[in-house]
Amino acid sequence: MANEPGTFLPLSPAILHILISLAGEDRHGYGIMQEVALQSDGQYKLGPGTLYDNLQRLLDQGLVSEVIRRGEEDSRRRYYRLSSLGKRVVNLEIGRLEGVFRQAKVHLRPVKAAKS
Amino acid sequence: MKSRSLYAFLLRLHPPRFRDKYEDQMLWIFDESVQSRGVVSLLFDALVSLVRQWVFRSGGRRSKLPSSAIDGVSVLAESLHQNSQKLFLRAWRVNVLWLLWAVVVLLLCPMPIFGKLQFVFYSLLTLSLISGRKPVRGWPPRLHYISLFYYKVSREFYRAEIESRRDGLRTWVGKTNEVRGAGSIVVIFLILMLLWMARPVLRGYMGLPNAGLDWDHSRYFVYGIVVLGVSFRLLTRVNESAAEAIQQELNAMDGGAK
Repeated sequence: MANEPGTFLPLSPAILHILISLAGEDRHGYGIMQEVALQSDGQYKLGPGTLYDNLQRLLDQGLVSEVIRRGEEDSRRRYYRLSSLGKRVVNLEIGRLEGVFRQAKVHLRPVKAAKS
Repeated sequence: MKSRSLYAFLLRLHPPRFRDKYEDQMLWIFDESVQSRGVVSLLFDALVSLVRQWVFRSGGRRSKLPSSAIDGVSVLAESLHQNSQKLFLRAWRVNVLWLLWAVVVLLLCPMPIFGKLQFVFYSLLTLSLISGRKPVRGWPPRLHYISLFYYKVSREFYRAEIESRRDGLRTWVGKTNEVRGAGSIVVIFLILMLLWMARPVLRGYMGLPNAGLDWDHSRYFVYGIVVLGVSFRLLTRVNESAAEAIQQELNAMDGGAK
């Protein structure tokens, strides 16, 4: 099934950040870039080229949709919205990452104890 | 403002489908973020994006037509037809460029006759490779197969028909970018090689030693184009196998309909 959320996993860091940035509200490209920088305390900075390449893929896959906002002062701004499929994919990816973290903690704990 | 112009120029070099959709937005982001991110970082990003879009993305974009287009299929066919006409003209320009080049070399080049024959052979070989035809045999090629570029576009017609039968409003049209890109690469390569060959003349203008035409360079030009032609031919083969897969798909659909 092409629209099965599991088929999109694992997500690349750029795509994960973009999807999370859109989880709260619709954003335009520059807004997404700012939100991603904020989420990562400035450690992960998306360039416009990377952003729109990934947005195009997300639009093609139906994880994100474009939103038309009437009365927008700058016509160059296009807004993007997380689709319901996109939300399911993000949730699934976060669940997967939580599992990875749990495993990491289990395996890393003895090393820490041994060091101390 | 120079950096903005350079950034805009890099965006203009992107594949048309990407450029048409995102050029304005990327320029706007450039305006907004140039102070905080720095010019170098943004220019580098645009350069990486340029390579990425042409090399990795240009052939693989799935285009979705507007859902309101009830007659989307005919709209699509018309658009493909227009694109193919443009590409056909472009392909012809490349071929004409080749012919001009051959005439110039044959008439003006002080090469020995063996060198001229060698040039003609490689020219024919290359032109036929780019055209997707075997050298000499079957010459002249059929009109609609005159160029690899047009061949690829005509395949898109074929594919569009199949896709329209499948779900009505979806098709692959991103390949036209790849085709345009291939055409542009050939032209850019030709121009670069011509400039390279013109170096001795430029040296003469600049008063440097070793001035004067060195036509012997032409063989390297021909060899380079042959390599390029073989690469394009290999690309065509990939498309031919894709066309076969589509044919099988079509047969299966026809079987299912019965």
